[in-house]
Amino acid sequence: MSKNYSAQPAMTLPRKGLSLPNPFTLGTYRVFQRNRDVFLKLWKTELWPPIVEALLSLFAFGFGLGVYITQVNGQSYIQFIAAGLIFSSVLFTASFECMFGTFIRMQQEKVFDAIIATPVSIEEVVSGEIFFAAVRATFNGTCVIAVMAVLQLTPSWWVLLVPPLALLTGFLLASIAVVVTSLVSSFTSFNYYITLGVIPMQLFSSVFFPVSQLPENVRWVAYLSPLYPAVEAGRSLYMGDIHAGLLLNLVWILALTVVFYLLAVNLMRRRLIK
Amino acid sequence: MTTSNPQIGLDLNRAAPPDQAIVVEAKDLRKSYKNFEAVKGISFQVFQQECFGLLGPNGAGKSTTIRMLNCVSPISGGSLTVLGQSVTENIRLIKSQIGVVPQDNNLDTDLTVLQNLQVYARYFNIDKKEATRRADEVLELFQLTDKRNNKTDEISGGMKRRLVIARSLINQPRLIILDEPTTGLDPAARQVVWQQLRLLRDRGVTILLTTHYMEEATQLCDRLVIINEGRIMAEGKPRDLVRRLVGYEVIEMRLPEAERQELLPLIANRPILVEEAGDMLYLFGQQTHAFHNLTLPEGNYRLQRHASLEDVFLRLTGRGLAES
Repeated sequence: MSKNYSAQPAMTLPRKGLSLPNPFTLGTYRVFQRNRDVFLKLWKTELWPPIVEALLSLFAFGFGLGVYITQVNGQSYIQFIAAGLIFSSVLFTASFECMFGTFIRMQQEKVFDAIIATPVSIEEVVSGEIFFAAVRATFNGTCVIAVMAVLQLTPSWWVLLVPPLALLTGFLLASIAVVVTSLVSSFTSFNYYITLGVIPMQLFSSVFFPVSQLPENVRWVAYLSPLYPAVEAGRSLYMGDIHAGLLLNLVWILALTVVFYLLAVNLMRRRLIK
Repeated sequence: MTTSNPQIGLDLNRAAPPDQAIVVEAKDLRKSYKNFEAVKGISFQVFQQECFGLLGPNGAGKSTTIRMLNCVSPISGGSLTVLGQSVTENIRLIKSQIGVVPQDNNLDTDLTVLQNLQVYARYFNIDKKEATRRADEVLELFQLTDKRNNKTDEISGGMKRRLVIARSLINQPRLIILDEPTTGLDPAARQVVWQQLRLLRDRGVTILLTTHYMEEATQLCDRLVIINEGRIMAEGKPRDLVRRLVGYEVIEMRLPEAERQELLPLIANRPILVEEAGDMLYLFGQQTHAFHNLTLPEGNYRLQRHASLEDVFLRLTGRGLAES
């Protein structure tokens, strides 16, 4: 039966001012459930690609490139690249879900309009979208870990903390993608963010090679990349190399997440509530 | 020649019948965007168990008003209460008690008909068992039971429309707000929708709808307002509006310019209103026997018929296409 809505956080439509929503509400979960249900309807086409992709990339990089590069910073190259590929996978999954997926649901299928006619708010719709993308990204990233575990190439139990870090990173990258989506009028505009945002993040965030390989005067690109602290922290956890710097990475990711989440929610509300 | 000017004294007749509670109340409601005012101060009331129509040409402000009623667009001025709650306050409470039928069929195309209803019910925190029971009930109501397990992109446009209307009933709303509910439906499907809406009203549900179809408004609406350019032009029962603003009978004809001059003396002492629109001439008989024993010049085309809501609509909103 229907629950009493007065028991839930009051919801109003302020005309101006910043919205500071709680991302952990029942409404957010409802939107997450909606996306999950549609996704699982399509599981035959959606579920296997990340596993195969993980296998192919690890094979190509690990056994292809790995022949020439045997050691990076004292690790085998396949382990170095595995940690990178986890977060590269998180980057692509979260970004594309909240660019193309969100745009289709918002603009073409008008799913958002249907949902905000119910007691679920626009803030909850946006939060649900981001959560779903983050969970999907975590699943895809974890496929890489699973493959490495099967190959007995996971040296430490600390690796179990990588999925939670992937979830947080996915949340951040999905928020950034929603910010982009809230500003574009058509699909083609996504090219700007893909070419100038997603691809450079993948290439220069220490996924394929350590940032120390970059000429000193361009290293700042990596330090600006929101993916970089995640890859660094993820790689340390993967190898079981626990040190205080991890905490600094985590704080930085959290701070970026708060900023981009608030931007995402407010920009989307500005776009949809007129 | 007198070209009629729709200068209508609004006989609003506002007093609510004693047993009818007010479900929607707009007072001087306004909505402005950056450089344009879509709704310029409208006031109306909708009473319980009534079917209330919002009529107007494209761009009149109907959908904007609907969006404010649905609590998805903040009001810019005046006040608006729905089910006793202001739309500027706890809108979750309002939204949990209304049913919304948008202009677009925004269904989940990857899900089946039944799943669409179940997922929608979940937004209202209705548990799955209860949702399925209610879903089957509303599918029956709109003759969609056969399509229960079809994906929604496999069913016809008319069925999608009916499904969207069925979906709006899943939370057992006290008020249903429909934006052009039967646009795109064939005549038979339209009849099904009208019947179900009347049944719902008889069960105590209040209905507020917008429409372009005057026949729909005549068939369904107990009361209506006609909106043009963000303002209310007239309000009342469809039949009363027709009587008051156009009359009983209408003669429409095409007449050469020269012969139009001969017309005036013929009708001078009769309760007849004349309106020119392009090459058409409309004579509105404002009493039952206005046209009795009247001999008119032979036009190229002539038709005598009962006055309808369409005449009211066109008189008030203009016959031009004012879409900007």
